[in-house]
Amino acid sequence: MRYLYIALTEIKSKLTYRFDLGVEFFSKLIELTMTLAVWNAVFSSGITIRDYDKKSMIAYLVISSVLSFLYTFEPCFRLGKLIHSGRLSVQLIRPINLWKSGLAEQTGRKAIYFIILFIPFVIFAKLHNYFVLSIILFIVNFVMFYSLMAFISTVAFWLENTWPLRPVFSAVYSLLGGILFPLDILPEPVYRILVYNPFALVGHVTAKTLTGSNENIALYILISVFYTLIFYFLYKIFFKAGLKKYEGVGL
Amino acid sequence: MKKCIKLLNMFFKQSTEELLIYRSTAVITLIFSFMFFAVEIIFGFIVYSYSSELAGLNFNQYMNLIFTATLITNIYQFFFTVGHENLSDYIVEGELDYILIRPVNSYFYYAFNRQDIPSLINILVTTLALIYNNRLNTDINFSVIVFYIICILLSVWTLFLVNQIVVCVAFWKEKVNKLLGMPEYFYDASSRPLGVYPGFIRFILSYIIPFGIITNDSSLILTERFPLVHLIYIILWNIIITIISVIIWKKGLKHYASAN
Amino acid sequence: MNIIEGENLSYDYVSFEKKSGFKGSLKDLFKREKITVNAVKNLNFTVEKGKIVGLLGANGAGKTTLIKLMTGILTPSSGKINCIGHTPMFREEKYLSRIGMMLGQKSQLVWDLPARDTLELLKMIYRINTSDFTERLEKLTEMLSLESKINIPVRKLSLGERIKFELICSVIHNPELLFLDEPTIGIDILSQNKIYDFLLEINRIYGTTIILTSHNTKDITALAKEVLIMKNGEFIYSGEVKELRILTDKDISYTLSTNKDINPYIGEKGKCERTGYCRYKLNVHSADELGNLNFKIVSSVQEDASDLDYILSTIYSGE
Repeated sequence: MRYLYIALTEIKSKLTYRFDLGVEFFSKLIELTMTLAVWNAVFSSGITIRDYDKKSMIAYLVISSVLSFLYTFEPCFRLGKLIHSGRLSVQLIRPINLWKSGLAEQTGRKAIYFIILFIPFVIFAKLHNYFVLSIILFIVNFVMFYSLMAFISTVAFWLENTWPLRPVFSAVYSLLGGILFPLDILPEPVYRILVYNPFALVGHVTAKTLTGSNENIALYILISVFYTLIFYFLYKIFFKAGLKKYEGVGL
Repeated sequence: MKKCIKLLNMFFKQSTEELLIYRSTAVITLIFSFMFFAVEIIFGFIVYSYSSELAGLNFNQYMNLIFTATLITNIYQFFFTVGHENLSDYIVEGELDYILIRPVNSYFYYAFNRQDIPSLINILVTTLALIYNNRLNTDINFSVIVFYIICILLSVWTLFLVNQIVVCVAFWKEKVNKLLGMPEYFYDASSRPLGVYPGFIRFILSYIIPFGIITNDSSLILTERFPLVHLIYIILWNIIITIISVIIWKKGLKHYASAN
Repeated sequence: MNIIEGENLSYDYVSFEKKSGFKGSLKDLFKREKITVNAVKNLNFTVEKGKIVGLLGANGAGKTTLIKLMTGILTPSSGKINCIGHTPMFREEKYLSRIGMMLGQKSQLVWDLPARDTLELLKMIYRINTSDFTERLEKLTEMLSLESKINIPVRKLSLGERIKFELICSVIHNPELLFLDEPTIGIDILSQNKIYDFLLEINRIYGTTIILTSHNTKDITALAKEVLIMKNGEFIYSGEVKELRILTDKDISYTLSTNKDINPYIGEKGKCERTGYCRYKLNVHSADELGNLNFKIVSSVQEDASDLDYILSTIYSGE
């Protein structure tokens, strides 16, 4: 209940800053335009790349880029902000779980995108009989990505500034997540390794599922759950160790 | 003039001192900026493994474009980024009061307020990458290099101006964080061959926010002739927008002073 | 000699009335009601060179606007102002080099670096020559006992130390005219006293004219002999602090220390009560009554600052 309230508060604040929301959409649009324009030029000679013709490539890129609205890196800097503003101590004495409230915040922050995304989701996924599995993959991935970010956020205990990490994530995500190009146009052995990385699961794999060309959804769900657990335990361990240091400093 | 040089010197010294305080942040930022560079290069390799030409550019020209665009960003980053980041904070948090009574030019005081020293390493690496990429290029002679450097410096100023104007929005609007990132998106989009874009986007990136010209045309100097018209256009654009941005700055300060 | 002269000085700004409710917002979108706010109205005043003047008034009375007009940050809507022979609004380098300002709630120090770095920067901005700078810095830090702190990063200083450095930054170029806005906000009594001594010393040695606004009446009683009180953009009082109480009917109260535990007051109009061993509280209607004290046994007389608080709150609320 409390966590639902946290999520609702986040939705409200997101709606208050509609200008920001507009800017966010616009910047994503620029990024997508850039990627599409480049691939459009490549395809202009009428070639096909692996299984992709111009149309399927565009479909893939649009979907993966729309998906990327859901996977942003705010949770990664949450802890750093709490530490630097001195509010962590306040949070710690509250009867509330920091990891869960973070997840609630992130869910609230993304609620609008969920709603927007749901329409194409229903249209695309229904065509392919994977509807239920797709939804499960979607949800598991969301939690998995959050737990990865939460785990990384614990470096804030050892680092005075965490903001320089932000561009790294966008770089890694756009490359390993398959935002700039589908990972399966890479050489087969490279692809086979890359496809199981967490970024690929939320990006490439989900986009493929939605375009209806993925059969191992169950396997990917399992892997995603596995990642979630690992990141969660890593978070626990690092958070504990970090807290010791934090208390040691006596902030 | 002497005062300006002394002040610049002082800013440089203070930037260095601050760098030493936030060493680990600086190192991380440095490493990560190289990852960006790597992503761009990998993307180039992938695209060119399926096509020998992209919008009229061959692989070498494409790499020149990427490296030139990166070099311009690196130099901008060195001179202005930290200053711009601080400035938007100062405006929003109301920390500009003291500059209003100082006998200095506030526009330039803030423009050159902080340098990002680690970017020097990025500049060096990007320059080496450019040299390597053009090791077999026979078109390069002394005048090409001079011309190229002039264009790069003009481009840095163009990039500065766009960011400066966006930062000034903070005088009138409170929540500007997301907006501050906009020029970067436009710039990234401009570090692709302009020819891949449909006409109207090309027009915007050439004449309205001329990032497309500064990246594409500057890099083409190394392999082809530079379209003189564009150079003149950029010079004019820079002069006019400099004047406009100074006016906006002054209006912003006035607005700042009268708002309580 | 007058260092500041204001003549029919006014400053208005246009604001928009905001209507409430959705309908109101919609109306605002098309036609907003303009209101002209007179922040400062028709002020005529002078400040003599070498004086310390307190500028008082409730929040929103127009104090900050007046300071902004004197420093040239704002341009008057009408009327004239002249400071040290300059018109502030022209913001000439010559003028700006002759004034200093310190805002207790804003910082001019570079946060991560030692105060010395900010001061070195100011040295260049104000074109102070090196020997003057060194000498002055030494003297100022000595006066505030900050010699050992000048090379410590600002973020590691206590609030009191930081405020003292802010003060040094404001006077490092030896301004003839110094504006102080809430100079002792949030700092302890010891630091406050140190700052008072410092400002009085600066005023005495260099003849610096000081314009001071503060909500801490202790600042006023300790520093200023004269005050200007503002309300709704106008002066409602200008004159000496000790004359202020004429405006109200309030008695003046003093805390007396004596060297014998005997009531030292021999007059009849006032009232004197014992508050502790050798300590008395005297309430009188006018300062003349002090003449009725037995000065053989009185060791100190201190006017109560809280008294001024009472007077000011009476004046501000307009009773």
